[in-house]
Order: sequence, then structure tokens, then C-alpha cells
Amino acid sequence: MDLWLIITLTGIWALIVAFFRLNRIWLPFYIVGSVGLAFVIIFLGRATGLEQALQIGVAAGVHASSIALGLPTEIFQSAPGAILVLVISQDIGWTMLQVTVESSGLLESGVIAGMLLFYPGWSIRKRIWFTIGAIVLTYMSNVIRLMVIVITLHYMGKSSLLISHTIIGRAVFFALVVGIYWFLMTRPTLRTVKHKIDDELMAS
Amino acid sequence: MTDELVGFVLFWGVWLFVPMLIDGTTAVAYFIGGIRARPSVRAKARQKPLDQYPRVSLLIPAYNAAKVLPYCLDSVRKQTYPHSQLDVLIIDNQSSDTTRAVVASQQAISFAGNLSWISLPYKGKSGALNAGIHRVNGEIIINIDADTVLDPDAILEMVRAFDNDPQVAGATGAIEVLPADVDPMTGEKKDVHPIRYLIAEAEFLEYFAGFRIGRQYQSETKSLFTLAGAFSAFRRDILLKTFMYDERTVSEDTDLTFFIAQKFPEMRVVAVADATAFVHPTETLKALYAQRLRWQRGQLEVASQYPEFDRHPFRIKGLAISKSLVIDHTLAFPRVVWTFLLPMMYFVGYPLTLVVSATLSMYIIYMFVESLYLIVSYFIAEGEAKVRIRKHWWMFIFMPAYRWTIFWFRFGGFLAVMMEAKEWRVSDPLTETKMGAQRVATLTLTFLTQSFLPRLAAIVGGVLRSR
Repeated sequence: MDLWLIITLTGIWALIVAFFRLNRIWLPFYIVGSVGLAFVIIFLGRATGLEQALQIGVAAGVHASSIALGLPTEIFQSAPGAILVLVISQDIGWTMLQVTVESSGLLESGVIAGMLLFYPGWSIRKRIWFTIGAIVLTYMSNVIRLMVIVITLHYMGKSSLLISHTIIGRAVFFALVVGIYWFLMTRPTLRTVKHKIDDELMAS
Repeated sequence: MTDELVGFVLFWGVWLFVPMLIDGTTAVAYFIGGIRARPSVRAKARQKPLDQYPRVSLLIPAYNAAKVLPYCLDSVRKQTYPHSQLDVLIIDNQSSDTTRAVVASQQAISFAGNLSWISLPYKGKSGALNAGIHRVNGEIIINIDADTVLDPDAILEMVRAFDNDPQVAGATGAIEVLPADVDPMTGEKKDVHPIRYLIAEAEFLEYFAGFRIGRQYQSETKSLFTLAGAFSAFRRDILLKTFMYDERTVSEDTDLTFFIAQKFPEMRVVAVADATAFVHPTETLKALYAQRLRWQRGQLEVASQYPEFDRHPFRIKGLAISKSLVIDHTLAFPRVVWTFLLPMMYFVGYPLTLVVSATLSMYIIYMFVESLYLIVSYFIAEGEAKVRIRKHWWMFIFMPAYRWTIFWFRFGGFLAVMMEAKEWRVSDPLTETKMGAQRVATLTLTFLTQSFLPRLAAIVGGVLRSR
């Protein structure tokens, strides 16, 4: 996409967000702000090589974790058709896992950054720290998800790939991410609301 | 393509798909609850005579209720509960219409119970109810809205719930939404816009499943936390040991329910499926937005006040804030973002046909879930409600869109609670945007005419003069 077009679109988005923010119209402010930022992060992530870096990072994390657990894996930088490949040795052979857009965590990181950075009612500082924490935790969840697949494959063989990848790995990842959202959004929100009500009562 | 579609829905659609699965699971749970609440079982329970007929006090806060109050009181006079055991107190809180005159004319109509009224020097429903609670001495106190019409057995069935179980501290009636195209006062047909008609029917189905099945399930599991403001009842002795209707949150009745659960853990709050009250459908989308936003805000405000109920979400029995908040709050945020992000997956490299098919598939699954709700509702409905559900069987097509709209309305409550004071006047985003645009236009015009153009003229004049 043309650079000037991207800059113009981003500028228009920022103006719209500012309009809603200044007029305290919270629902469109949050939707336009969070979704727009998620788009920007995803597009920039794909255009700048951030996604590839994340893929390498996730693969390295899985490799290091599996070594620590005594599960033999390998990483290949130049495997045909794959950015990185983890090989899991088994008695009956090996399996290649490719870290793609689904498991890089770029999209999930973009979403949580959008969700948190535009969440109204908290200080910028708090939102930035929470976002950094959320991205780190999302990365860790991703590694755990892939580790679940690696462990399942290691002990149950190739035939378990479909179920471990499609169902178990995704379910584990989903549960972990819901946990992140709960502890970084819902729980702190309850505390904020409680303080707000207490303050209002004190003031009255 | 099928494998790819399933994979896509499971992976990227998970944020939209999981709330749907939870809805589906709820529908199944409702189905089981529906079997327990089937008409034959309920009819058998209704045949049992009451052990006693305690004195019942009926509180009706009335603010500018001159038009609707006669119909409400007419339904009170039609009650099958012994009238001699009924005290009706109308609490006029600063009405500017002819409410007082209407009450006076109603007092002239023959009624074996007591019909009295008080006038308060302040507005607000909570204050009116609290004042009323101190004035009456019935063993059971029932609150109804002035625009509510009671089913003839409503009070009898409500009292039966207290009579059957001494552990019952409070109860909510079942609210049924009246059709939009029938005048509830005269019973005559009237013309309404098709959209309003559809929304009223959607509200009817939503309330029907919510009160007849959902709240029954919550009653069984001691997890009911919302009473209907339009029709609820309490034991007076319990009520007097609480803070009554506390205005610290926008949801005083939910606050009261939590307080009872906290202070009287051995007592229960239940939903009474056969105690029916009829309410009017919401007049406009704007009113619906304001109502749902307030409910959602209230849920969060009350939840924040009772951290001891922040128990693990997989708990089946008892109040657990986390159970409802994981669905209503935690999952709402990714659902919001993914709603818009999912169609954009085309730009991430997925085929357009796949993205469109996935979106359509999810709507179809939602329609399936809605048809489950409809079947269960039809199964447990009786009389006119059954006929109405049968007549509107096709609503399962429209219901996912209605619930989706409601989801957005409620989501607004999460943002408002963080940024606005309790007294904040709810306005819909469309009106707010129009007003905002008008403000921007006015400011721009003022800047141009009073600052920019005079300065520009001065600069141009200076340049011209220097030449």
C-alpha cells in the first residue's frame, strides 16, 4: 500500500478517535480506537518483519522449553516452505511444526494492545504497563500452547497431531488468554469501579 | 474447504464462537430447567392450597402515572388472593400530573383491601420504596411499577413461594412484555412500525426465556442476583435488617439481592415462574440503549461492592460474580475487536469466500441456538404466550441480530461506568455524535469568523498597504 495513503488513513483515524474522545462518546471511541490500533499493529507487524521476528521468538522459546524438559527438538533456519521448523524425535519418525500467522501471536498482541491502550478510565502509564505485560503473557501462552502440542506429539505420536493442534492446543491457548484478559481487565476494572463508588460516597 | 472453514472458525472466530457456545450450553441447561418447569409440574404445584394467607403490602411508586395507574390498580382488584389481606400503598413522588386525583377516584371504587397513598417531597424510585417499606406492616412486601399489570394469580403465586419455603427471603415475578401493536389499556389493535413490532417481539422472547427458564435455573442453583424492578417481593423482617434500596449504585435491587446473600447466607432469593406481571415494550431504540447500558453498569457496580463473591467461575451453586463477568465483561472486549477484525482477515491472506462463509456459518449457528430457546419457551409456555410464540416461530432468524444489538448497548455500560458519574444522563451514540459534530462546526465557524479571517484580512491588508 502506498505510504502516503497509509499516513492519510492513520491521520483520519486519529482525528475520528480524537473527536469521539473530546466529546466523551465512549462506545464509538473505544471501537474505532481499539480496532484501528489493532489494524495498524497487524499491518505494520507484517510489513516490517515484526511478525517474522515473533515467529522466530516463539520457535526459540518452544525449543528452549522442550530442551529443558528433555524433549529433543531442532530448529532449521532454511527448511523449504517453512520459516522455522521444530523437529520432534520419536521412535517412529519426526514431525515438522511450522510457526505461522496463527501461532506467531502478532494478531492476539495487536488485539490486546488495542483493547488495553484505549480502555478509558485508567492512566496512560497504567495502560502502557498492562499492555507490555499482556504482550509478554500472550507470548508465553503461545509458547505453552505449542509445548502442549510438542508434548502430545512426543508421547502420543503423529496420529495425535490433528487433535493436539486443532483442539487441545487452541483450547489451552484460549483459556490462558481469557485468564490474561480477566486479570488485566476485569479484575482491575472492579477495583477501579469500587474506588470510584467509594469516592463518590465520601464526596456526598 | 470444509476443514479450512472449521479451522478458521475455531481459530480466528473463537472469540465470537465461544460466547455462542456458552449461549448454546445455556440453552441446553435451560432445556433441562424447562423440563422441571413444564406446565404439568407447575399446575400440580398451583393446586396446593396455602397453609396461611399472610398480610401482604403492595408498594406502588407513582411518578406522573395518572394514565397507567388505573389499569395497574384494576389488575390489583382482580387478584385471586384474599383482598382483606391486601394493603396497597401508592407513593407519589413529586408528580406534576393528575396522579393524586386519579388515586382519589380509585379510592372511591369498592375494594375489600386497604388502598392508601403518601406524597413525598423528593423524586426517585428508591427513596419512594424505602419510605413505603417503613409505612407498611405486611409480612410480605411486594413492589410493583405503576405501569405494570398483574396477572390475577400473581400475588397468590408470589406468596406461595414464601409459604412453601421459609428460607425464601425475596422473590422476583416473571415479567412478560406486551405486544407493541395492541393497546394494553383498551385491548384494541394499533398500527406500529414493523421494526418496533419486531423489537417488542424480541423483547418478549428474551424476557420469556430469561424469567421462565433462566432465572428458574439460577433459583435452583442459588445464583439468582437480579430481581425485576417491576415486580418483586420480600419478607418484611429480612428487608428491615438490610440497607433497603441503597442508591450507591444504579442497580439498587441487585445490590439488595447481593446484600441478602451476604448477610443471610442461609436464605434464598427465588424466581417465581407463575407470578406474572405484564410490562410495556420499550418505546424506542434510544430507550432500549439507555436501559441496557444502565443494567450493565449496575452489574459491574454491584459486583465491585461484593469481592467475597468473586469465586471461581466453574462453581455451580451460589453467587459467583466471576461466572457472569467472564462472559459479560472479559469475553466482551475481544468479541468487540474481533467483530471488526474477522472480516479483515482477507488482508492477512485468507480467501474472501472463506471469511464470508465463516461469518455466515456463525450466524447460522446462532440461529440454531435461538431456535433451541424458542422450542424450550414454547414447551413451557401456556395460554396466550404459547400462541404468541407459535405465531412468531420465525423470530429465530431475527433474534441473533437483536441479541447482537443488545450486546453493543450493554457494552456501552462498561465504558460509561469507568468515565461518567452515576448521575450522568444516558444519550445514544448517534445523538451524541450529531451534537458533537454541531459543537465542532460551531467552534470552527467561531474560529474562522472571529480569529482566522480577521487576522488573514489584517495580514493581506498589511501586504497590500506595504505595496
